[in-house]
Order: sequence, then C-alpha cells, then structure tokens
Amino acid sequence: MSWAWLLLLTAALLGAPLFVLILGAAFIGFHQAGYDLTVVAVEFHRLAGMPGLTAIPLFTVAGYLLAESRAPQRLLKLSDALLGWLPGGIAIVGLVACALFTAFTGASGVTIVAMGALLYPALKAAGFDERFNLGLVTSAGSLGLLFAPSLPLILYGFVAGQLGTTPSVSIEDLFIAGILPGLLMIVLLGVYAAWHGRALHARSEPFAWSRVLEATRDAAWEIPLPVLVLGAIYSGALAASEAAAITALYVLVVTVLVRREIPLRRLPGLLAESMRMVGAILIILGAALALSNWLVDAEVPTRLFEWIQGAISNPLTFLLALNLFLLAVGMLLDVFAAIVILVPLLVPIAIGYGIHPAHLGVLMLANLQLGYFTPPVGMNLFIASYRFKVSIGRLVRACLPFFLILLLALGLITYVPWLSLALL
Amino acid sequence: MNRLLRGLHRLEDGLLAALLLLLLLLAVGQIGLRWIADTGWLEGETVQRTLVLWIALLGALGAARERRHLALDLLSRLLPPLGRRIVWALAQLVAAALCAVMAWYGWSLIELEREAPGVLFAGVPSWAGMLIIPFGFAVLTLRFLIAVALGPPSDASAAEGSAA
Repeated sequence: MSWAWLLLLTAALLGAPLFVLILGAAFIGFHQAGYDLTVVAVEFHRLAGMPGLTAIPLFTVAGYLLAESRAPQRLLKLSDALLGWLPGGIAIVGLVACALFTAFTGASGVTIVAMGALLYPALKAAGFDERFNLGLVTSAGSLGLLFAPSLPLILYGFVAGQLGTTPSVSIEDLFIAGILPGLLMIVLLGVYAAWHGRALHARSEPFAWSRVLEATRDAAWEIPLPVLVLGAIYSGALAASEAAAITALYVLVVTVLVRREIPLRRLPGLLAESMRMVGAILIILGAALALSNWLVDAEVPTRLFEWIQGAISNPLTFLLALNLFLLAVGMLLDVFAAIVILVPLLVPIAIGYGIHPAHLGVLMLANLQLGYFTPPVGMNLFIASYRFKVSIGRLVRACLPFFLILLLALGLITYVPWLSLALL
Repeated sequence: MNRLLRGLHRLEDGLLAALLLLLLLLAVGQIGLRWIADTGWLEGETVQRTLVLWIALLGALGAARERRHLALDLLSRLLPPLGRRIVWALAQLVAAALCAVMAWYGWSLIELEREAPGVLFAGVPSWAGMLIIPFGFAVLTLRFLIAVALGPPSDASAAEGSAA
C-alpha cells in the first residue's frame, strides 16, 4: 500500500487541491486500518454537526461586503485624523488600519490589495522611501490575524475546541488571548515606523479636533462595528456565532440599504463570491475531520509525542523547533489549511509539554503570519509583487527589517506565555 | 452551450446567496427569540448546521469552477507553459478521481442512514440533509474533469485566488 502514499505525494507535488489530498490520505489510512470507507463520509458530515460553525460564513460575508464598500477609505481617514500627527504618522495609521481590516476580512491577501492601493500613494506623498513603503504594505498585509473576529482565530478555536483537551479552549478564549500579542506586533512595528519617519515629522499634519470630528462623522456607521463585535464577544454577552450573525446583518443593512455603496443587483454575486471562499475553507475542514479521526485512531499524536520527547525533553527547545517548523509550513501552506491539518496533531503534543492550547494558538498564528512573507516563497510576496509590479528580490530586501521586527515579536509571544494568557 | 452554462452558474450563485441569507435570517431570528421570549427553536439549530454543510459544498463547487482551490503550486510555478499545462491536467485528474470515490461513499452514507432514518426537522428525514455530499462531490468530479480541458488559471488570477 505504500505505493498509494507515494501516488498521493506525487499528486501533492503536481499541485492537486489540498482538500483532495487530505481526503486521499484519509481514504488510504482508513483502508489500511481495515475500516469501511463510508467512515470518511460520516466524518465529513460532522461539518453539519458542529455548533458555532455558522460564525465562519457569517463573518466572511461581513468582511467581503465591508471590503467592497468605501469603508477602507473611511477607516484610513479616521486613523489618520487620530494618529497622523505622530512622527511617522501615516505609517502608523497604515499599520493600525491594516490590522483592523485584516481582523474583519481574515484573508491577508485582500488587505494588501485593498489597503495597499490606498496606503502606498499616501506613504509616498508623506515622503517615505519606496523601499520602506513596499515593506510596510507587504508585512502589514498579515497584521491583525490575532484580533477578533479574524477567521484563522475562529478556525483554530474551532478545531482545537472539538479535541476536548484539558485545559480546554474555545473561540472566545482565543479572541482574548490574541489581544496583547497582536498589540505587541503593532507597537513594535509602530516604533520602527516612528523612528524611520522621524526626519519627516515636519511633513505630518498636526492634530486637529475638527479633522477627528469630520472623520468620525464620515465613519459613523462603521464605528459601532468593532465596538459591537468586540464588546459583545469579550463581555460574554454573545457567542462568536451570534456576534457573527448580528455583524453580518448590520453590515448588510448599512452597505446596501443605508449607504447604498453596494447596488442591489451586485449583491447576489458578491454573496456567492464570499461563499466560494468559505466553501474552499470548509471543504478542507471537512476532509481534515476525517483525516484527524484516522490519525487519532492510529494513535499518531501519541506516538509523535513519544518520538519527539525522546529527542527533546525541554519545553523551550520544543518551542524553538516548533517555531522553525511553523515558519516553513507558513511559507508552503495557506494558514487555513495549516490550521486544520496541524492543530489536531500539535495540540496534544503541546499539552504534553505543558503548553496551554490558547498560547499555542496565538503563537501558531503569529508564526504562520510571518511565513506569509518569508522569502523565498511566502504568499504575500507574490501578491504584493503582482500588485505593485516590483520584483520578488526587491520586495524581499524591502521586507527584511519588518521581518526581523516581527520575528522579535514572535520570540516574545512564544517564550512569554503571559502575553497570551494574562487576560484569560 | 455557453449560454446554458452561464445560466447554470447564475443559478448556482443565486442558490448560494439564498442559502446564506436564509442562514443569516435563522441565526438572527434565533437570537431575537432568545432575547424577546427567552426561548429558542431547537430544530432551527439543526437547520443552521445543515445549511453550513450545503453552503460549504456549493461554495466549494464554485471555487472549483473558478479554479481557485488551495493547492501547493510550487512545482508548476517553476515550469514552462507546456509543462505547467501537463502538470495541471494530471493534478486535476487525481482530484476528479478522489472526488468520485468520495461521491460513492457519500451515497453509501445515505443508504446507511436510510436503514434507520432520523428526523432532521419538521418531518424531513435526516438523510435528505446528507444528499449534498454525494451530489456535491459528483459535480466536483465533473468540474475537475472540465478543468483538465480548460488549463491552469493565469498568473494574475492565481495570485488573487490564493489570496482570498
């Protein structure tokens, strides 16, 4: 039967869709273990048995509609009015706006395309050099992954939550655990931007209440949104899936009926478009449910843990190995796929080393986020290279300082669990 | 033929949008019921979860139509156009084969469920909610076969596709 595994590996190299590869692995595994393969369909059907999974389509559609409206422009204007007076003002504005935008849209590539187009010219006009601008736009494209209601965070909470581990972890826990580490990333990058832009101080506009007031009035319909979502979830008034429903309804009403920035005739196409992305993620999740069931049945996590423990006894060494491993994974694999495949394996192992699953989730996402623009194959490098029409080589050089800063943040997040667990 | 296909795609998109709106309505309605009347519609939960499954598969169908399922495309990025095309065709064939297998076992799941049917909601048997699994994977098989003929998506749409 090893030829079947070989065939699957070849298919992976050829670029067959991930969900198909995962299904294939589940088929082969269960077949070798002597099961009736209907079990794969039974496991896949568990997609329809999970409470709270509705959060994924509902938050996604809200993000899509927001991205299609003029909310990004208003967000940028408001952040500019609030933070533009700082040294390196517009760069810090960009970081904050990108993070908020990514938290709501979840897919970091979208941030580069939507925000980059606004931010890049603004940075240039403020006198920043091109290299800095490229680096900022590319690296900020994955900032905000750690803030509610980002999809990767929800997905991790979901997959880890249904493992039934002690200590257990929920989507809501993840939302809280991500706050300080997410802020740390923004602050570190912000300090760098302020330092880099210190000579440009004269060119940033002074703070003015009138500008804040105007921008606030402009964004009056969007401002309640983070308050609503974060307030409801963090206070425990609503479950993540309920907050998702209210967010989706609110965004739908505001963008289509109140602001009318999305014409009614374009709505069905947009809704379908957002659900195609959801479908691409959920079908991987369904396949991964089957695969992870086989993995558990074959006691792979236990054996893996014993094997790793034979080589690594110290939790700190394990974390270091994990960092390097996830960096490589982040380059090769999309963050959603990485979560559904790796979480069932990693969570039991990490718990064996005494690592809290919420901490693991935060460090895993921070790690994968870095992989997004790790040379030579990080996905955001390709998107930015395509979007801004510059060579990958130039982008890699431009991203280097940002990469090193986020690497420092990752180190702190990994080795100071307090950052993730303090608010829990 | 082309017009038929376009109509079919529009129908598919419409269905997807309608299911999503229905899901939204149910989810919001459920919260409303809880707040106002401190009650809930128990079967509504089941309907919501089934809707998620249907949206997942119909959405995945759409993603296949637009050739934007997530994949590792390192090798094909390095190849010349003809090589890319061949590698792409092989990958799609594997995908079609495995989706066909899944459709088969999806059907056997339904036969299994029909031996001891439960109720999904309001008299609808539980196996009806599962129909999307064999159906979805059967159509996915067709889509991947069609994708063999269509060839790989262009660089531009590939970059944006993997982004979303």
